[in-house]
Amino acid sequence: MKNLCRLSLLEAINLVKKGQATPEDFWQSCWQSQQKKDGKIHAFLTLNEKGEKDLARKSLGQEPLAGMPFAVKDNFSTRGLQTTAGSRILANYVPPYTATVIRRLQKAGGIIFGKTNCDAFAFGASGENSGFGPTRNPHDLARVPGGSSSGSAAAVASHQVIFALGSDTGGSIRQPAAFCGVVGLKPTYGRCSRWGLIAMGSSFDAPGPITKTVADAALVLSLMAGKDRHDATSSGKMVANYREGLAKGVKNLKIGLVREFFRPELQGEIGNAVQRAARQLEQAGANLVEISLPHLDEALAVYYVLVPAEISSNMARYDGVRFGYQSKHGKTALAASAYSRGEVFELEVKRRILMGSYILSAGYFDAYYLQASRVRTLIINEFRRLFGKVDLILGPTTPTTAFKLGEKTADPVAMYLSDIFTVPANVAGLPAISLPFGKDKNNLPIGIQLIGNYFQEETMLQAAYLLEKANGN
Amino acid sequence: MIQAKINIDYLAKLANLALTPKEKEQLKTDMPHILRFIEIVKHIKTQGVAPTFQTISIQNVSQKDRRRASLPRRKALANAAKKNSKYFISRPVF
Repeated sequence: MKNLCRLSLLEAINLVKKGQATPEDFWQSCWQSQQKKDGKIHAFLTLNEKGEKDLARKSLGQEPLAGMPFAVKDNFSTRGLQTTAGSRILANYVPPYTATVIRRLQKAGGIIFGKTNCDAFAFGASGENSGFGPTRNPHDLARVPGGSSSGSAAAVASHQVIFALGSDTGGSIRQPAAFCGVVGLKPTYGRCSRWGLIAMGSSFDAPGPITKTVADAALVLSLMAGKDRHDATSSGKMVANYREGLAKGVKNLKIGLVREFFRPELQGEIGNAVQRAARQLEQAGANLVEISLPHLDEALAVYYVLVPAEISSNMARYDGVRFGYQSKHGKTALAASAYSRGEVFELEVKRRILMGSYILSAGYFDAYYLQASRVRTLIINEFRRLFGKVDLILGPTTPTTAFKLGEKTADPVAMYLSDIFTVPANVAGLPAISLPFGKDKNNLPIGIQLIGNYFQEETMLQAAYLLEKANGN
Repeated sequence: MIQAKINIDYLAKLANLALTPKEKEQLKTDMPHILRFIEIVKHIKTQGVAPTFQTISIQNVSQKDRRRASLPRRKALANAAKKNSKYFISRPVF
């Protein structure tokens, strides 16, 4: 059967459960697709050549994921399978354990197909900061796929796998999903375990699915979410069956449209797509409410204070002794560690470590770190106030569609601004989803975003599902 | 004004990061630009506002003490650049 790799996860599972295709058929289809396409796209860093062995499990076809191959961003630890986090410092690192969210998907019958390219340690918004070369956007190879889950979004968009996992610290699932025309879901902070996810900003990081449809995202989230004793910040709140309520609709839901999202930098076609989505929700029975998020600009600044601070602390573990690259230079342990870090860390990694060191250094800690942590409280309070008035917030995912490779690499702040609409959900720890909603005049995908209240992924998915159907997907 | 405050060599020492002269030049240009961008947080009134360190109000997470097998030594050493059968080997501390 041809083109099985092009099916959505739910279509694929149905086919296997009806006996019309086998998990092996899907594996082969994805493998052929990867071999044919990835030379140009560079979505994968490592393929799981032992994955086919897992297909031998007899019960596989009856399990929730029915043996479907999925891609994993390379910052998730996978036992026995190289895990680089997109950085040369971990070029030969093979973890002794597997991240909880991946173990859960494997237990549900998912099979790791391969590890995907990403900005080194997930620091980036274009995929260009990978130590192994950039990923390209399947819709236009001259453009970036977004980042940092660049390879995961590109692999799903180019039908090299059925679905993928990404991680979202400031938009790293949603922004590449928007640029590549797929669905990307960032759950509430703590909804999915971070154990085994190589840490970036520990109070921001959230694992989540990148899929072809909203229903696929709902299924994958149901299977990966929940309390984990290895992650004290994971929530014990009950995990809903997110798929069950998808078709409930949006009648009487209050949808907030943030005034500050419609700013001059927003590409006109994206603004129009958001307005079109708002009208469709209104026609389906939702009530639109204009709201204000006055601290939108500050949210991005808060992010770029707190995340580098957390990064500089998290990156201290890379000393070249217990794992990772070790330099030949340096006579003492400390000097050898400085050379090991200096020789292979990518420039953006160095930039963020230094920024974090500056922010946390004596004399600046109160002025930057503590102050930003207080502004974070104000932003959370602002969202709590808004969610007293509305059930969901609708807006753009990105200010523009995919930009060209190299266009923003010389200006880090311009690159950081790509995350202006995605970062607020991370600062507050809220769930958010990006879904494709038409294309611009260059035929590039447009993504729109729904932000939900804490642990209200179900409501968010219902609205996203309705919009997906209304948009003909 | 901000540019004068940033001492890349001092920060590199704090971060234990060896930088090339070219990288230092690049970072001397980039960092003031980024600092100007984040300065806005300093101008917001936050008197009496408590800082947020985690967003979902989980408190006092604990679990029972239970003895479990640790990672086997062989696996713990598997990724080390230099090792013997029992230990990681690093260069002299002093």
